[in-house]
Amino acid sequence: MITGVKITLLIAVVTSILSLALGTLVAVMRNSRIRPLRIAGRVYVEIFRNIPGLFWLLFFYFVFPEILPSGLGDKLNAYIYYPIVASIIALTFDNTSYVSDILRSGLRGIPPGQREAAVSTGLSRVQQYQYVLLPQTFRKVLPPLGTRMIHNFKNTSLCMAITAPELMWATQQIESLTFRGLEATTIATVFYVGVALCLGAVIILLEKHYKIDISSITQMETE
Amino acid sequence: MELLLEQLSNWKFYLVGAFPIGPVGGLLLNIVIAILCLTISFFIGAIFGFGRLSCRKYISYPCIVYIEAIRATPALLLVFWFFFFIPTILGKNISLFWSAVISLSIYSTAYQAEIIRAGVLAVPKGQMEAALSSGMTRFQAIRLVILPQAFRMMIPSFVAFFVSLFKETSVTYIIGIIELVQTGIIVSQRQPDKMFAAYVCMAIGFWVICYGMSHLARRLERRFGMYDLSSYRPTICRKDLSLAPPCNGGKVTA
Amino acid sequence: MIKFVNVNKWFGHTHVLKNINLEISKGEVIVICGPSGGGKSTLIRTINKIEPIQQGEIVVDGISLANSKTDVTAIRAEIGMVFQHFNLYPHKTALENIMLAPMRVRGLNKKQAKERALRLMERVGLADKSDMYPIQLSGGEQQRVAIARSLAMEPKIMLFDEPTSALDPELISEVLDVMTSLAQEGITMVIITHEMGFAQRVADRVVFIDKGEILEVEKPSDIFVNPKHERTMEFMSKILHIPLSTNKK
Repeated sequence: MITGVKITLLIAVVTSILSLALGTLVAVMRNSRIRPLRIAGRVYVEIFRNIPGLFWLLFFYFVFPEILPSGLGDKLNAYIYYPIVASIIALTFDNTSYVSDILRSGLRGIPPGQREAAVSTGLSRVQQYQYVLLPQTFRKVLPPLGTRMIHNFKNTSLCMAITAPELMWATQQIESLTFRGLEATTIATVFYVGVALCLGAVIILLEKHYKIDISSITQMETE
Repeated sequence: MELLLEQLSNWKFYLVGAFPIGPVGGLLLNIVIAILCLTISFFIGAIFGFGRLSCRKYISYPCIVYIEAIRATPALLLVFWFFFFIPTILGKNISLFWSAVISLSIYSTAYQAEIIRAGVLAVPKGQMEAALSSGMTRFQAIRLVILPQAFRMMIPSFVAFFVSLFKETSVTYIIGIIELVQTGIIVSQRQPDKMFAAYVCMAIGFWVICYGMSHLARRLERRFGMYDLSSYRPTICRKDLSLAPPCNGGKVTA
Repeated sequence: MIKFVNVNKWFGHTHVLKNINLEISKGEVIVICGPSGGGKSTLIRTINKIEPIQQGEIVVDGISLANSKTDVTAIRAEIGMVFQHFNLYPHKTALENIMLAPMRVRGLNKKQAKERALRLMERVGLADKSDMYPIQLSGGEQQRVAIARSLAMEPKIMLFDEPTSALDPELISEVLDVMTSLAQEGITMVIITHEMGFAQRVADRVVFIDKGEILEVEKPSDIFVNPKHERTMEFMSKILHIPLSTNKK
């Protein structure tokens, strides 16, 4: 079980970080002036948002090695840790689509005057984003972003479907080996609920620290 | 071309499973489960949602605990609980289908409760004042003025949640329900040459439904959405506010 | 008609109404003015008990609001209130907005309610806009519908909480005209407004409130020209953009 917890946390943290980075990139892409970039971003988001994460998990584990040229595919399949890697890839892509959507709506919510002010002081586009737009966006969308990260954490439970040895998988192993599944599942439940609630508390604390309008907590995060 | 058709020859299986030979399955089963769960959980979720809004702490605290606990658990875990353990605790045998429906209903009651709560809180405070000051009782005001407006605003959120729930139903494949994902896996195991087509069909199935409903949700959001975000408030209970039910005894009357 | 006796109110630890003593007789038109946050809105909301008070007594039409046996809902039906942000029900047409309370509270049937509503819409000059939704009406029109809505209950007292503050300057006069004609009919009115010209013409007395205390209650002819309190004079000179000199009598 302990390994299960460790793997769960590993997958959760890695996917969160990767999807934040990738999500920012996609959000900026969708906001750019270059039309192909915008379309590419939109296509990406539409594909990954409308198809559940479970599908992508199965896809990356079963289908992806088949698509690759045979040498590479076999090597991937043989790699012991491939389930974990596949989970990370799949969940990252899945989470990115939601994260980029959240960031994009945040970006659009910034008053155009900010952009004008940045331009008029001579900042390049990259600098504008880096120093003016993105910091504000992150502060504004912290609540829905945090909720999404919690959801990502919960989604790691799906990885048991592709035999990634995370917590749910571990409880199932215990159940089939020792029939003490009830206790195991209870502990797992406590773990998930505990972490999720802690993360929620962290979000509220961060909001108070950055003095974000607390009323946006009640805003329903729609997927 | 024949190759393509041959690849897609299992389309009926993906769509409706073994029906009419066996029980309903495939994409249709996903939709059925989602709709069923949505309707069941609407009523129960409404109870918890209004309970959460109550000023009486002995009602709102249990509701808060329930909602937050369910929201913090993964859907898969909930499904497992209901499939593996609750029957042993209760001593009865629940069929596969109903254990999935019940567990996902419980999952969605928490989210529905939050939608309802957000909808009611989004109605501007002045509406209640206006209704009360023309002599309506609190009950009349809520029924005639607040709720119609609140439900109108909740509709796009409900549709968006349906999309989310629909995606979540794919999780039930793990306990053996033959819905869309399971049909794809069965096909790819029995006919490995059709594996790629299976995945493509699965993807198309999900995509069409989700994109369609999301589109609907976006259009509804434009028509009905909760625009006035500045009127959001975390609670309608303020100690001195006489518009709330008797919160602190004594001085306040509605 | 309305009597405040030693009324005190706190919001948490903030003392928002301090020892208010005021008597308003039947048919009187009172204008309340003063700086923002001075307690005007709170005061007017205590009259129909939308805001409760912690100390003191308010007597409306002979009935004490502090008495726990008092049916506040029944009293509220006799008092009409018009809000700064109109607060029309967006999911009902203008006519339905006006019809709702008489039907549900006074028990009128649909036909009677509709007749009354149409009469009132004519009175405020909007008979042709009866079937429109609030979102289709201009600010001034919405406020006039709001006035008609509160008149539908045939109240004895009308309360106005800054009725023109949210309106475009051009639309203010149409609302003030309706209010002036109401005043001439003899209904008891308590109005919060910054429209001093209107107050001059229509008010019987003007009440100046600052920081929760009533500082002066005078006839409009006196308070604008010869304010006795220094704070009143400061406020009036800023509002009227005329420098007034201290009246040292």
